[in-house]
Amino acid sequence: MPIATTDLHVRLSGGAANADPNASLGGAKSTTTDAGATIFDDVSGAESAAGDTEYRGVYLSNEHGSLTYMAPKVWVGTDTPSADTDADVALAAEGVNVAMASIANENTAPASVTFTNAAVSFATGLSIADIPAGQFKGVWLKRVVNAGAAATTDSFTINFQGDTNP
Amino acid sequence: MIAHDIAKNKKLPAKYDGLTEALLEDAERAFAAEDTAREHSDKLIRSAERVKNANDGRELADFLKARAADEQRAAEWLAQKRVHHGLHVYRYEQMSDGSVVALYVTDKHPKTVKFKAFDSITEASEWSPREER
Repeated sequence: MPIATTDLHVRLSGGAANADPNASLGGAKSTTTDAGATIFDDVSGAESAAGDTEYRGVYLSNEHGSLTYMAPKVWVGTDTPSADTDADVALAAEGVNVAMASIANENTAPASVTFTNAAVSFATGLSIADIPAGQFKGVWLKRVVNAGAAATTDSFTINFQGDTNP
Repeated sequence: MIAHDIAKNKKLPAKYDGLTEALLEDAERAFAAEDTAREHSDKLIRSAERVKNANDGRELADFLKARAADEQRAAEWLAQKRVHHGLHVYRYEQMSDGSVVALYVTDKHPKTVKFKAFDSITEASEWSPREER
């Protein structure tokens, strides 16, 4: 059977047992929990007033039993391109099937990774090396909220796409 | 501090050889993203036209058209991002004394790697190149 979407997961980082998106700050891949719909927490009034920049690390995980996920790409899609927020994405410096370095807290950037805000579709996405069955690749996300940002319902999504043999 | 000297002289230590060239290559790809998205969209539309009359081709054609629409939307979004935030590619490199140099390329100066020094990763983490626009 080819790789199905159910074989692919965006897993939290932060340790094998981590189930808290706010603790998804690099380190070992969570074996239990997908990133879900709220990888970043809500921005409080105080945070939006002062501005807020946060980071999260997640893993694209190929959990098919035998097939390699070939030539995958990852990108940031969005529903609400607010002028007050921006989302950047970077591939982890570590290779496939290697745990990402940890960051000290959600406001601390990972070093030695290249962020961009121009990866917004399959064609413009960041290319990842093939991910063999049972392996994974780390991806860093950065959310920037301008100081004085107006309250709004804003969101973005992490998208990925690759090829599979039948 | 080391990062401030690097930013002042615009020269990285030898261990970072090739890094600025790699960043410029990443930037070239990133700043061509609107064209890339539109070209890919056109390619998908052409593919959809070719397969639509084949056996079971209608479903594939619809899929390709939907992906083409995604790429068109991406191109439009990129155009908005250029206005709101600018497009940028950047990275942080932490020096042995804890200071950090940010290397960045923006769509306003797509052929130039710029340097910005910070005393710590905490300070650097709050920054992004759009603040330099």
